[in-house]
Formats: sequence, C-alpha cells, structure tokens
Amino acid sequence: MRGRKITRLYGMIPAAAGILALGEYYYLPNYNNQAGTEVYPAFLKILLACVMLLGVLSFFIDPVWEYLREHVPWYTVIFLIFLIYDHITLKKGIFTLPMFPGPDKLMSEMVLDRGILLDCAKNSLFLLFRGYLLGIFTGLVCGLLAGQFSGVRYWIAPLLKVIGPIPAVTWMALIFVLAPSLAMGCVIMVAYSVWYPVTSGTMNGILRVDKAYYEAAQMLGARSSLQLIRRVTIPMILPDLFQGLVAGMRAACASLMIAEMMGVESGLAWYITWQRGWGNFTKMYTAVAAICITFLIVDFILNVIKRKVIRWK
Amino acid sequence: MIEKRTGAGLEIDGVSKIFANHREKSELPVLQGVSFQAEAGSFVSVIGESGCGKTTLLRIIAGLEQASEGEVRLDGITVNGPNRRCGMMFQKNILFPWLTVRENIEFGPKLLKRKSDEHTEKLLQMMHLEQFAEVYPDKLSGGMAQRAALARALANEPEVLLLDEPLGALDALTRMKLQDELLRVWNYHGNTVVMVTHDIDEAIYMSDRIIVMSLRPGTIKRVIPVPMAHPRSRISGEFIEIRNAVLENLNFAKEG
Repeated sequence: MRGRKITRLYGMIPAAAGILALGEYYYLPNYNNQAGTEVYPAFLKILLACVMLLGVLSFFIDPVWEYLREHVPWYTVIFLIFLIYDHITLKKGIFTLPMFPGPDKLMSEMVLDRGILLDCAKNSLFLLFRGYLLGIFTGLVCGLLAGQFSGVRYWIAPLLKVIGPIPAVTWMALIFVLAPSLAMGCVIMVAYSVWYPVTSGTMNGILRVDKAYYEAAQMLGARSSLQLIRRVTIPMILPDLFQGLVAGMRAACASLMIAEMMGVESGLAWYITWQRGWGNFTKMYTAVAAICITFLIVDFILNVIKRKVIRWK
Repeated sequence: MIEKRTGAGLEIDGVSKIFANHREKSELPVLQGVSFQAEAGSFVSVIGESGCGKTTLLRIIAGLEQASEGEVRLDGITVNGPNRRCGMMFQKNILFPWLTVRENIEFGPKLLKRKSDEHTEKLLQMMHLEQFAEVYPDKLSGGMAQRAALARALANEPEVLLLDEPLGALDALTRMKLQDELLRVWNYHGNTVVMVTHDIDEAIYMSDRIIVMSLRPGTIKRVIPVPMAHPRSRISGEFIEIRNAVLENLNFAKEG
C-alpha cells in the first residue's frame, strides 16, 4: 500500500512543473518593465487544475492512474516549454517584440481579438466543410462506380493516375477564373483536393475485397447486388474509406489556407495575410495558433467517428 | 427453434466442367461426367488429390458455379444458383471480420428476415461459443473460428451442408475434436452432408460413403461404403481395412 502511494506521487510531477511555470511568471521581473496581463496565468491555472485533478484522482481510481502514468512526460514538458518560452521573451528579452511576442502577449491579443478570430474560424470551417462534403460526395460516387463496374474504371483509373497527384494549388489560377465567386473557387479547390484520396481509397478498397466474402454472403441468402454492396462491400471498405477521408481532410486544409490567402475576404488564413500587411506579428501568430486549434478539433472529431464506425480494427 | 429435420436428397447427374483459357485458346476439363446420389440425411465425403476438381464439384452443387454439362438436383429440383437450402463452410474460415461472432451468425437470418435471438443463443450454445459471442473474428483461435463458421452455416437451417475442407487448417487434436462436434450437429439436424477433404481418416471416421476421385479430368474412380456404426474407433481393424482400400484407390498403397 505504501509503495503504491509513493509510485503514484509520480503523477504529481506535471502539477509541480505547472506551479514552477506560474511562479516564474509571477515572481521574476519583466525585461524593460513590460506589463503583463492575467490571461497567460489564467491559462496556466486551468491546465494546472486539470493535471492536479488527474493527479489526485489517480490515487483512488486505477484507470485514471493508468492514463496519467502514460502522459506524465508530455504534460510536464508542456509546462516547461511555456516556462522557457516566457523566460526568453518576456523575462530576459533574448527574443524581443515585435517579432517574438511572449506567451502572455500572444494569449491576451487572442482574447482581445476573439470576436474577429471566431468569425474567421467560422468562415474558414464553413468553406472547408462545404468543399469537403462536395469532395466526399463526388469521390464516393466515382469510387463506388469505378470499383463496381469495370467499364467505369476503364475511364476513371487513368484519369486518377494523371490528375490525382497534381496538387489543387496548381489549378488555382484556372479555378478562380472559372468559379462564379471567390468563395465558390475556394470550395471547388477544397473539393478537388478531397476528391482524389476519397475516390482512390474507395475504388481500391472495393477491388481488394476478397471474392470469397461475396460467395459466403450469397450462400447465406444475399440475392441482389444491392444487398451485397450494403452488407459486404461497404462494411469491408470503410477502413480504406476513412483513410481517404483523413488524407482528404489534410489536403483540404492545406488547399483552403492557400486559397484564402489568395482570394477570400475572411477566414483564418486571410487574417494572417491581413495582419502581415500591418506588420502585426503577434496577431499573425495568434491566427496560426487558432488554425492549429481548429484543425486539431476537426481531426479529433474525425477520429472519434472513425473509432465508432470501425470497431473491429 | 432448431428442430430435427431431414435433409434433402441430392442428385449429381453427369456433371462436367470445362474451364476455358482465353489467352492460350485452350480448354481445361476439370470434371467429366460425375454422377452420384446422396440420400436425404446421408454423409458423403469426396476425396482425391489436389487439382482433381473436388472443390469445383462442391461449388457447382452450391450453385456458385455453372456446370458445363449435366445438372444438380435437390429433391428433384434443378439447382441454378446459390440456394438457401444449401449451407456452406469454406476451406479457410471466412467469417466477416467487421461483425462479431453473434452478428456473423445472424447474417443469414437477417437477410431472410427471420432473425430470432433465441435461435442465435441456441446455436452459440450448441457450438460452445457463448463466451465469444461479442468477439470479433480476428481474436478467435482457428478452432473457435471454424465453430463460428459452422454455426453461421447452420443459422439458415439448410437441408444440405456443403463442407469444403472445413477442418483443413486446424491442428490434429482440434481437428478430431471438431469432427465429433460436426457429427453431433449432423446427428441432431439430420442434414445431408457433402464434405470435400484430403484427410483419409477424417473421411472414414465421419462419412457413410467415400467417393474417390481421379485426376485430370476429375472423374469418380470408386465409391467406398463405410458400413461402421457411430461412434467409430479409429484403431479398429475395420477402420484400417477401409483405409487401405482408399489408399489403394489413390495409388498410395505401395508395399514397404
């Protein structure tokens, strides 16, 4: 029992690192008497509260301990990175403004500009998902048809080989000329970059399905090809399809960012270009951080869906 | 409910199969004039070297493949496609990997819209799979997977059970155990069984009749009856005598 208690103290290391980072911010003097705000410490305190809660719970709940034990190094390092980051900017001034804002500067600007940032994020996501859904839909239709019918595959497979690997960006000039609006151009670019991985993922998935599965289903009473598609093909290709979806999302994000920098009047990437124009590096980084957070959330959601749908892998 | 029922009578009438090779413009005869009958509720084994067309024969009976000549009749009705009166267990177990054992068993009944939990439970129980009901196939051992495959084949209550080297991939001990289970199922349901195998002992231990096939093109060389009562002793003189007869017909009975 005693030994167990001592090993579980290990789980408190991230909290100790958090207190260290907080102390560093509060008790060391700032370079050039710059003013700090309460935004960064508030952020630290929230993180600290989380790891403390986990640390305390891990003494009593074994699964929490299992989880925490695995994550202690990363959780600790996150605090240390913030500590070092704050130290070399705000405290020691080794890296100075305006090029290198400290964590507090960055976060307080983010909070200050939250209205416009949220608006930009919303617009970006709106464009992203319109393009993504359009790309998935066309990709699924092409992939299913090409997988099922060799006649369709005859025409689509070479097309995939030739235009598939060309990044959407190369078509940008053409797309923006032909598209009815800038936003539409953006959507088309995103859709294009999703179409390829989804089509090839679906088609190759179907081609890889062992014929024996169809025969087993037929022996068990499957009659129509629709039944075979629904009961065998689709469940079988879901892993390939999801791989296409995830790869598609990455390509879509990249395309969207580039398209926004070129054309559209809103969105996170547009915000970056706009702030660069004013030479406001702090706000530029804020947008980069916002992009990072947004896509982390999107990726997380996609993974949750994947785990729900493909339980057997 | 699983009820005791009698299987259907099976007639294989002059079945030939020729595979065309388009590239070489040649034809490969696989089966030639194969005829035999399996009475309702009987257990027939087909044995022969690999390449003698025994799997093709089974696939034709199942309706998965068309005979080039001749036909297969089930209680007098010509088979012309996969048929729900026939259940099949394949060479390698092909449980659907995206479904749990329970869902695999329910696959057939669901398609025929007569799924019943009670029926599924009974099959799980019969094959000793209760504890594995919610497990995905890649977590099953070979023996368990074949048990599940058998349960799935039985779920639609087929009158004819077609077994394509069902135990071929198992180790000797698991194999003998599952032979007994197959016999138990056969006794209980009274299906007509046609089993393709290359294990001579398995054929003698289980079947009423052994059909020995010859190679290229596959024809029936000899039909050897096994007039022994169940349960059979693998070491009795009668068993060994039949074994010798089969070996002789397969041209493997060389003197020391």
